[in-house]
Amino acid sequence: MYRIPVYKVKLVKDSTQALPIKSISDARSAAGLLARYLAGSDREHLVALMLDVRGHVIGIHTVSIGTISQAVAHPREVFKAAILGNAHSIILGHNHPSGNPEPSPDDIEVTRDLVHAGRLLQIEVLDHIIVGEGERFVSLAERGYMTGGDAWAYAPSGTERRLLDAGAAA
Amino acid sequence: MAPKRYHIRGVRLRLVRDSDHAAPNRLVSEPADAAEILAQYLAGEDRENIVVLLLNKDRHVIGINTVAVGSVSAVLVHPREVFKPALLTDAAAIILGRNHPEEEAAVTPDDIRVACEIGAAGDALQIPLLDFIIVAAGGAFVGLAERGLIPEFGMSGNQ
Repeated sequence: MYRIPVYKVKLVKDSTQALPIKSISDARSAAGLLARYLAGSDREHLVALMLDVRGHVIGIHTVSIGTISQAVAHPREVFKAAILGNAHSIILGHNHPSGNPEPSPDDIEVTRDLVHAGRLLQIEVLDHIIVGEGERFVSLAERGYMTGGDAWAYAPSGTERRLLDAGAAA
Repeated sequence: MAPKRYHIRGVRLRLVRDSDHAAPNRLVSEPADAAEILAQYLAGEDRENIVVLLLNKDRHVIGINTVAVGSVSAVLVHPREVFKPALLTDAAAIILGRNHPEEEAAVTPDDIRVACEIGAAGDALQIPLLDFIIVAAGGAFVGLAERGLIPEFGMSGNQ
């Protein structure tokens, strides 16, 4: 006979941390929080703000440090903390050490992949904010990159097509 | 005046080893192996349970977690609850299981919907759903993937 462990997941209260704002109401408030958190970084940091159903920040998680490419912004790493932390939705943020917050083509592509993954995981990616110098920032939601109409248009493969077909058949 | 500050609760998530389940086999090479473990684990349950089997890359079961208890509708099975134990144990793949308190292992549209949603989410996380197995009280079982009722997850090669 083999012994297979039966697991339970438990939440343990660890500590509390002070934050200047309680909830995220718009891109500007998220950008302010991210700018504070990322102030003085000499390289790109990709972070996820985790929100509850009311838009209150329940955590900040640094996903990767370095350049923002698909290799370091894999859904597994981005959503790991959100899944474990019971986040209802997330806001992605990263800094541009150059000071210019304009998104690169890579930033846009990574965002599309993560929006897509968020829909599959039922943890919505509300925005991706790039913070630059001072109070400069770009919200990819405001630029229309998060609301592409058809959620499935982001699909990188036929998986979702098959998902929909299977659902229709059922 | 000092600006108002809000306090965020810091929490830790712990995976607790609850008990041990003695199984005749922990290698899952075909749906029948998983069905055997599930049938034993769920024996005598009076209501429906959704259970996730956590597998390592060699397809050994490294853990079991009960995801939901009660009636099985899609709203009750959020991907988050399925993948929490999988992420905490670094599982390479998962199998979902559900018991059917009656003698027959009937497949419902909800089963297929749940399997498709969890499978697609698993692909995003690179934790493929290998099968969704329904076990009946009498020992009969149905594997949705084996029957071709759901797509083969983890095979799309899009990662």
